[in-house]
Amino acid sequence: MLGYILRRLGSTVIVLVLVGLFVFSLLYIAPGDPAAIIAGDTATPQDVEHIRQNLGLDQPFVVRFGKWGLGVIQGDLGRSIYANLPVSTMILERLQPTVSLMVVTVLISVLLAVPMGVLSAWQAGTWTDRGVTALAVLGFSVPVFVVGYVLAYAFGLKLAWLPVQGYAPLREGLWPWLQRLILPAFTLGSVYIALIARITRASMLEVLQQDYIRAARAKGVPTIAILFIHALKNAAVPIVTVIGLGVALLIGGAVITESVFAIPGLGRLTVDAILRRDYPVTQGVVLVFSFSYVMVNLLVDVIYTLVDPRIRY
Amino acid sequence: MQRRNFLKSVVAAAAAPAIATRLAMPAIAAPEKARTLRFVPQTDLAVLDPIFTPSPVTCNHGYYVFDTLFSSAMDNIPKPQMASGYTVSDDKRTWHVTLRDGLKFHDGEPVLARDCAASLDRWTVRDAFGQAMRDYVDKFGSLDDKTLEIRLKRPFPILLQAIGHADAQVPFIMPERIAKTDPNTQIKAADMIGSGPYRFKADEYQTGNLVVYEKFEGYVPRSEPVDWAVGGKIAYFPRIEWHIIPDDATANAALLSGEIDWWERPISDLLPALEANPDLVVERANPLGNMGQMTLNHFQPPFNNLRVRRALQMAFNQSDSLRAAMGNDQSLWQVCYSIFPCGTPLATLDDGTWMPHSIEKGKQELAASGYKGEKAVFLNATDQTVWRPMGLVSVDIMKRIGMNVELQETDWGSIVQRRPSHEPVEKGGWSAFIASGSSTNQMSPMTSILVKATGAKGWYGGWDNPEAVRLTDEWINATDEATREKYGHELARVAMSQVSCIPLGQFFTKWAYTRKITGVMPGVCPYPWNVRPA
Repeated sequence: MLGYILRRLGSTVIVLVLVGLFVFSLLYIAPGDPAAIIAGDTATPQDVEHIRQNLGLDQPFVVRFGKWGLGVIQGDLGRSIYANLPVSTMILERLQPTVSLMVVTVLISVLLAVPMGVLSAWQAGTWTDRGVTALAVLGFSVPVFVVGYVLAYAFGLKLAWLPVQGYAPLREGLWPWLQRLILPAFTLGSVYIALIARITRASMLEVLQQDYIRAARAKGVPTIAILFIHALKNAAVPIVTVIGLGVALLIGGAVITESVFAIPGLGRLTVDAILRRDYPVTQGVVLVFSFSYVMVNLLVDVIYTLVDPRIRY
Repeated sequence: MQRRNFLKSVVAAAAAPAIATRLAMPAIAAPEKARTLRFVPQTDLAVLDPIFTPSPVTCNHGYYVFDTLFSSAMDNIPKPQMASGYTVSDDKRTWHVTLRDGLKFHDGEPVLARDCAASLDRWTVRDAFGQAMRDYVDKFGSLDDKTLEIRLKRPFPILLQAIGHADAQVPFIMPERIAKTDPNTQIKAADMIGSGPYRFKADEYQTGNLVVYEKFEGYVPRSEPVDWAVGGKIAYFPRIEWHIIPDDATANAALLSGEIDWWERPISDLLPALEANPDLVVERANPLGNMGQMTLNHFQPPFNNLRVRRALQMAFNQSDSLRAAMGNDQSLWQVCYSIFPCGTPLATLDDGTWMPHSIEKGKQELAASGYKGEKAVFLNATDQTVWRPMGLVSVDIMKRIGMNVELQETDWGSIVQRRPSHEPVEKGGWSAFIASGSSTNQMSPMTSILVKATGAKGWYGGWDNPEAVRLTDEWINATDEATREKYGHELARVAMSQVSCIPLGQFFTKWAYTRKITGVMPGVCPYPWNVRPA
């Protein structure tokens, strides 16, 4: 196992180099000039050129990539063109909100969706099953921003139970932190819940057909134990895969939710950086996403071995 | 489903029950919250240095943290702010500006004349008005700690207008050591030290999320009543938080639920619902608004032909364009067939000669121009909610008068990169695009991009007109206001008849705030002074 992990870490480095080269090249050839945007409409071409030089944007591709790459190796992701702050500082600032949102979303989603999927499979063909399926379809179909607006209206404005925007760091207290994440987590989790519920249902249906399940019923094992101990464990591999993929996507894919609820996360940082042509921030964030994605996939592969002892690397 | 339409219906449904809910609940405000003003700015405060960038949100931030020697209100007459007075030598080439007593920076250091000298020196490198002034300046220096000395190579009668101008890159005063930063390099967050009524809390600053200001107890306000950024700037709230909320529906919900107090730029779709809410005040932010213009490329066909430019100008209907951008609420826009904004001293209304807004006349002029169907490329910014509809209307008018036009829609950042090009459209060039600026900037020949006539050295369209340059010089050097105004009007007439660009009229933004605060003043900026709990 250790060897497998080390091999995967090794390949991660190659992946990151390729991702870094790709995103750097893409930004280099993309239209847009941050120096001109910063300088403003009344700036002279000389002003713009001075700014471009100060920001190092006048240098050739190879020089710029080389400097940036060397910096990354030393842990320096550069400085934001606009904020004039280290990119790593900006990413770290935004990490807690995104990770918080991600963790709460995953928890809520898994805690809701897995039992929903199990219930649906157990009651296959009944109104319960149809109801869960309908909810899942809604989760897939309704745009995330609509879910967000409806939840904010209902629970934020109408009932005034929860705030409609913002993020409170954990150091301000558990409840202030959590109350601002509940609505965004349900919003972001709507698709996730639907997906996990459906995969759980499908996987469980297959397992529930197995002989050992029939045998367990015959032996008088309680239904709850059959479902959640015998069946679910054997159905877990595809469920864990989907959860893992979803987690990786959540890291960077929460842009809309972060915008709707004004959460200062990595998703918003990425969009803002792209629109402003803040190259160092865009490059840094993409690298972080790539690294996270690879690590989560590795973690999922390791979890397989815990869930299914037959799997060995 | 269209996000915008859904947004409108949700907001409309939210307004009435939300009011009832809020009224039913006791307003228990924590003492801390009552001492904090929560404000949502028009956009993220990405750049902090107000000399480095002319971004309006950065200028607004600048007003919190810094102060100015002079400033102007709507009348555009500069008045002393940090200055107690000034003298001018008989030959008009030496100005002495005396500082008021008790001025301090946020780090406790006194404001000295050399701080002002360094600050003005830095400002004149980047600002358009400052750059013009720089040609006249021999040296910024100090006679003593309290007296700034400006030595000129030749008289510059509008010097106070220059250092007192109130918009875009305002000549804010910084400590000398910070002002000596290269103007093309941004000052760091930790160095945001001014002498304004609020200090910037660098330790609480979160990029893209939160900006925090704290009342500066060492600020010495003037005794006169305040008017825009002139007079007694009295800070009432001990703490002001800027909450960056990019989504309009969310900002709207936050205002309705009491999570924020003041929202700078609600989109026009939401204004009717906000105006109907008795708990809120909705009013024009800047009485002069913004002025739109269609920039034409004078370097390349078809707009290197004066009569083709005139054809489009004659056909252009400002009402159609403004209505498309701002909606039917005419408190949000007004036609202004003038190069300088209406309501300002140099407004020079066309009598229908050059802008009769007639498609027929446009067609006739185009036919007479010798236009042979040369392709025009119209760059339209899809991420600009006001400019984009104006661009679409413009393209429609161009087609209706018989022009061969290709609409290229892209984001503003890409347009910024393309607009310096002088190449033909076949090689990636362009023919026209829409932009706008604050009327406060567009009202002066020094800062208006509609009258820049120095060709390749001027605004991106490259209008080249020696007569306009001469009139601008005459305006600068006029020794009395009546003569200056005369030259200003002449300049406006030349710019209109020679079609420097096409003025698109004025549009206004409104801000919304809760009735729990009072003292909000209109102006070029959401000024934090005078605002207090109701």
